[in-house]
Amino acid sequence: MGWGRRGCWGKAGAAPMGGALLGPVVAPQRPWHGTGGRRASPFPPSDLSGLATSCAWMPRKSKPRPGARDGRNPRVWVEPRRIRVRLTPDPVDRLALDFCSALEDAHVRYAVVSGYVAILLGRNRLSEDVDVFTEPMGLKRFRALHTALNKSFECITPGSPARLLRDYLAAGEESTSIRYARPGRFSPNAELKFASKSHHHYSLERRFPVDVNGQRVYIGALEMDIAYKVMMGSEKDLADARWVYDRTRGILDQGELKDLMEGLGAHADWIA
Amino acid sequence: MPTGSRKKFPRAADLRLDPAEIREEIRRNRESNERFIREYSEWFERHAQKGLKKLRAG
Repeated sequence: MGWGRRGCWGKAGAAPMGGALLGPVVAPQRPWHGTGGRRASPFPPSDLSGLATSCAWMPRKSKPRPGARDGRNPRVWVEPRRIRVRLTPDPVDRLALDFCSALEDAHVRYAVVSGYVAILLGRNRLSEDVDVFTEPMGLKRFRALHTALNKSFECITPGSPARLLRDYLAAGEESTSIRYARPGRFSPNAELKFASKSHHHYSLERRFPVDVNGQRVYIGALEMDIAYKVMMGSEKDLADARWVYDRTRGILDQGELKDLMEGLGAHADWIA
Repeated sequence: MPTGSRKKFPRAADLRLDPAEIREEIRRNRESNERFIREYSEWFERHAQKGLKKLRAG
């Protein structure tokens, strides 16, 4: 099959960013897990615009730093039935790959969506979360998944599985995501959400396999990812959409993309 | 695989996309992200204050 082994990424490495103001912070950690005597806040202020200068460890969200992820050296081959990626995984890649591996092992249908898709396809920008849609599930199945995920991750959204399901994942119109991070940290994290709307299911049903260093991960429908990002409209989102479009235009279903763009009322000049 | 038994993928044309609903979803997601960061920030502020008091008392 050629998919090779899964989940063998070795020990988590150093933080993806250097400590500019607080000294060399080894990795983003939640403060109740052994930050020792360091009292300076590793947490961001509520004003997001100030993150880049106020927190040494916090990834800069919108302004890509030249060479910030140079060490990954991503190489991407787009083929009709799959995308192949070879890279030197950084902590976000390792988190994403291990998280997907855990979902696969639990036989949960999933798709990685949004910003990490562009990053996986070689875009050089930092991100602190990996968005993942899964099929909806009941309490018994979710509890088993939660237990499996907790072997390698820690759920940083508080509550029992029943509460997480009721208050977050399956809360009707108010449904939202829950987050898992490496034990003792809260960034980077994986944001897990149930597919609930038709466009979520579309993304999940038309998911596309990506072979990352021999491990298979699924990304959501590329056409939906592009159209949704265009609709979100921020500079970062548009650049992500353009990046994914440029790399995958040879395998995109242009008719589907056009229909989605029309359906969402989104427009981009660069889409043929 | 016999003809006709292939999995049928959903088509964009069959989706009833409501841009207003999706804009609302985007807004809620952004709000949720900001809330997440704010909650942890506040938690840390409280935690740091407590630690500072202990240090001073010590």
